[in-house]
Amino acid sequence: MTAPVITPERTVEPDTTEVPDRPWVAIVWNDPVNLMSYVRRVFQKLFGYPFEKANQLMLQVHHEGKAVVSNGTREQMEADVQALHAHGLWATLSQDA
Amino acid sequence: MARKRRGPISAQRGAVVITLAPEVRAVVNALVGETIAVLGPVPDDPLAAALDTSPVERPDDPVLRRLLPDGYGAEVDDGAAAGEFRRLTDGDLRAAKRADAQRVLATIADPTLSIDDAEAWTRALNDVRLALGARMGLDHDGDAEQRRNAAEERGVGDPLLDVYELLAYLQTLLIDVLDEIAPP
Repeated sequence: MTAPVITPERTVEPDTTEVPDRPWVAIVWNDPVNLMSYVRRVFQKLFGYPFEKANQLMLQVHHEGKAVVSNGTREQMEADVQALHAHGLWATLSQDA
Repeated sequence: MARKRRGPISAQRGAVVITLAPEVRAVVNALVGETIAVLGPVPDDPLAAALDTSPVERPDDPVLRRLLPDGYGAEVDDGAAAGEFRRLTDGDLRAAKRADAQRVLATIADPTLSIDDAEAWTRALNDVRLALGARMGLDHDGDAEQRRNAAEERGVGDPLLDVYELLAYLQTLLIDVLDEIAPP
């Protein structure tokens, strides 16, 4: 399986919409089903975060509705989101604002 | 090493032992089996399925939509990226969830679980709870409590919610034991 390849369209003007330096992020959204201890453990397992950091991110999801849990290339974030989905977390990726 | 018991779940020499009453085992068995059914059949030809470039539709069923969510949020995407992400990941995601569910079914009769099996149990129980939550329309924090209160006011039982809470209890115990004997 390969990551999606984006082929930029050839235009007369230089393309300014593509900003390669803006990192991609994986976001986890709050949902009423996932258990807090489970979410914290998933963050530890998938990202290697220590307990405290994982717990803090979990609490941010719970209280603020979402949290950025990792960042990197688009391909890395697609892999992270897929792994989060495999663990039943509600996650999406987007390009950092 | 001292054996620490937590209700039906205990840690024993690097393994997790789950002692479930037969009726609880039957419920877990049936609902995990239902996850496999909801996920659909394994493709006849996995290689052909992997090479298939036709689009994969976003599921209509709320249960399946929760188990296989969009990878891109609506706020950043017109649907094209989410569609492409789904096309690339749908088969693997279904396979991963099917494998977790099958590990529960394979170990439920004599559940002295390896750490890996116990991890698969936490994910499979979670998928069952996600499915039940979607069926019950639990969308926001507090919806389960509200549903419980409504049932009590009407003086009726709520078997679906009972099962949902029972599985949350089992999942919590499993995570507690795993945190103790297999910290990430």
